[in-house]
Amino acid sequence: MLFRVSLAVQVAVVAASLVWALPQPPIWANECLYLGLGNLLESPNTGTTDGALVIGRFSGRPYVTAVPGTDRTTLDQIKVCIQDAFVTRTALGEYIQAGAFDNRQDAETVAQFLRSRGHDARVLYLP
Amino acid sequence: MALSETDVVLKKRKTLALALLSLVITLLWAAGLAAQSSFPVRIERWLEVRQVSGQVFTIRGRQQRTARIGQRLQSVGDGLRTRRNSEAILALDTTVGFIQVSENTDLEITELRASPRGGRITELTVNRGQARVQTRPFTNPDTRLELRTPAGISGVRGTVFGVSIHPDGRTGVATEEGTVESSAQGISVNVEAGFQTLIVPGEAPQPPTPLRDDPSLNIQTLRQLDQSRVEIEGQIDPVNLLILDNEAQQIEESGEFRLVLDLPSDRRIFLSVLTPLGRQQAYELVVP
Repeated sequence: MLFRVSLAVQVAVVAASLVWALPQPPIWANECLYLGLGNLLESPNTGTTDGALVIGRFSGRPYVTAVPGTDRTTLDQIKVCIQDAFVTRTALGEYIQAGAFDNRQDAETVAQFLRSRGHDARVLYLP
Repeated sequence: MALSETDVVLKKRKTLALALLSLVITLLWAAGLAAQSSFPVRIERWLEVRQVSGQVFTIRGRQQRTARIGQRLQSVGDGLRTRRNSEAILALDTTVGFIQVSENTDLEITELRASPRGGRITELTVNRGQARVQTRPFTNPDTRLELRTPAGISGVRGTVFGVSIHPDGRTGVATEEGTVESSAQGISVNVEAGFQTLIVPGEAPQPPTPLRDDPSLNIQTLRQLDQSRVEIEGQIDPVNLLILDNEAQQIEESGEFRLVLDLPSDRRIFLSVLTPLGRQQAYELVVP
C-alpha cells in the first residue's frame, strides 16, 4: 500500500514538472499571432544607420500600413503587437503608421492582420 | 654594607631596563591616543583629470581653464565642466575610485578631507548632466563618497553607480554593484545592486525598482504641426535623460514628453537617451 502511494506521488511530481517545463507562449501570442506574418511586426517603423536607430519615414519603404485617426486607445492597442507604431500626419491626413515596407505584399499582410483585430487598416503609397 | 662591583652593575642595568620599559609604555600610550583621534592625520586629497575628450574645463578659484590630463582639483569650490560632445574621467586620490563625467555636466567639490582616523570624506555636487562613479570597497569605516544633486544626496561605500540630473533637478540613481544610500527630505533608501530610483526635488526618494539601464525611446506621435513646426510625443524610462541638441529636455515624472520643434529642411531630428549608468542610444527621427 505504502509503495503504491509513493509511486503515485512520484508520478504526480514528474507530471507536474513536465507541465512546468513546457514552453509557455508569450503573453502577446494570442493577440499578435497571424498566419503569414512572420516577423513583420518586429519594429517595421525602425531602421539603423551609423549606430543610430531611425524612426519614421524611409526612402526605400514607400508602402505604409496606416490606420486613420489619432485615437490614443487605438494606438495603444496597435502598440501591443507593433511597439514602434506612432501617430503622424501627411498630405493624406492623420493616421497611425503601423509599418513602412519596401513591398506592397508585406504592407497588405500587416493591414489584414490589423483588420482582423478590428482596425480600419489600409495601405498607402508614399514614394 | 658596601655593595660589590657586581651588585652596582646589576642595579644600573635594572634601572636602565625600568627606564626603557616606561619609555615603551609611554610610546604605546601615545600611539593609542593618536589612534583614538586625538591627533588629526594629514592626508592629501584630490581629484585628478585622467582622460579628456572635447571641451572640458577645470574651475579653480573662480577661474575656468581648459582641463589638462594630470591636473588636480584639491579645494572645496574646485570643479569640472564638460560641454557638448565632451566627457572626462577623474580619479579620486590614488586608489579610491573613478568618476566618469558625461557631456554638459557641472561637477563641484563641496567636501574633500580626511577624517582623524584616516577616512577619506568626499562630497561632490552635480547640478546637471550625468556622472558614473566606480569605487573600490572602502576599508576605513570613516570613508564616504557622496554625490549631491538638486533633488538629494547619494552616498556609497564601494560600488559602481551613476546619476542623471534632469533640467528640473530630478535625479535618477542606478546601482550596478554595491549599495547606494539615497537621501532626501530626511528619508533614506538603499539602492542595492541591480536597482534604480528617482528623486524628485522636495520629495523623498522613490522606492527602488529593478535596474533597467534601457535607453529605449517609445515614440507615440511624430507629425508636422504646420509649415514650420513638428510635434514629437513619446516616453522614456524616467530615470534617463532625453537629449536634444546636446541639452537634456524636460520630461514628465512618468517619463512621457512632448516637444514642439522647428521643422528642419531635411525633416530629420536627432535625439539621444542616456541612462544614469552612462549607456546612450542615438535616434534619428524622420518626419513623414
